[in-house]
Amino acid sequence: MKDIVVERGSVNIEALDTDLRSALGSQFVGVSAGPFGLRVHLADGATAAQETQAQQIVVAHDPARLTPKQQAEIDRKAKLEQARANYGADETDLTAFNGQPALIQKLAQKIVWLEREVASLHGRG
Amino acid sequence: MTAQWTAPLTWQDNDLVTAALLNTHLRDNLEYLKRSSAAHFLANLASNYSTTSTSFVDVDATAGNMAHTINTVGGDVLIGFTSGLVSNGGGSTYFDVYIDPDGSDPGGRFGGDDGLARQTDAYEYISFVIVKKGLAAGSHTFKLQWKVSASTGLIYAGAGAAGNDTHPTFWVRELP
Repeated sequence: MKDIVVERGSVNIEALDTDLRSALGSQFVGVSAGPFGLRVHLADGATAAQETQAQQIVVAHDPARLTPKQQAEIDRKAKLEQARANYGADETDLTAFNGQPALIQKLAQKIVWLEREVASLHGRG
Repeated sequence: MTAQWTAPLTWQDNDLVTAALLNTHLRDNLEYLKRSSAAHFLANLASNYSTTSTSFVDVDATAGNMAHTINTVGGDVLIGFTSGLVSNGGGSTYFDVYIDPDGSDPGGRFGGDDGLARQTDAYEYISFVIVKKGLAAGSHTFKLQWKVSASTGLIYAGAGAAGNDTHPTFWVRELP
């Protein structure tokens, strides 16, 4: 394995991995970061041109740019926070379902039960 | 000067006990038995360790960090690693110890394809202690290595946010 050591500050290691893997394919093994800086791990078969390409990608790397997976995770958390704000303050009021068909009332009871189970799991019940 | 081992004399009646014999057979042999090479690293760093490597690579090859070189008199060496918090949100992280080859030992990793220890949950505690048997006398280098199955492996090393400020340790000690 060939290691390329690059001096640089903060990195978004997942995004950098995605970029390097996309550019270098099977010649890219991974990337490591720590107090020593940044190391790009390449297969023994990587050419000098691929080593140079890897260095250029690291230098051009923008840690603020997120991968689609990272962006999706942020979106998912935002939606969950919004749903908590909209619906999480109060337990479902079963009296609002009085007069509804039995099946709807049963469904509402199940939802209240699930609300209580989730609250218990979060240490709020 | 490092004390050398001398096969102890079998004393006979009327043997003359000299200072030289006492120094060789008592002082030097006791010093030899008491000595043991050791190296230890308790990480408290400004940055954590992370990797996306799918093949085993050094966690930190910096001498004295996650890589130790000790001079042994020959025999067994105890090696340990403990990390209070390891994470990988999308895969597993694997750990192993690599010994540099030398004239008497072929070196290499201890474990199989997936090393000595595997982290499977998103956040996990990892710890192992192993013995390297029968190393010849001389200088030997031990390195902590790791790899992932997917995603990013992370060893918290003192730079974590509140609740993640754990300090991993990697050490080697020659057994007397």
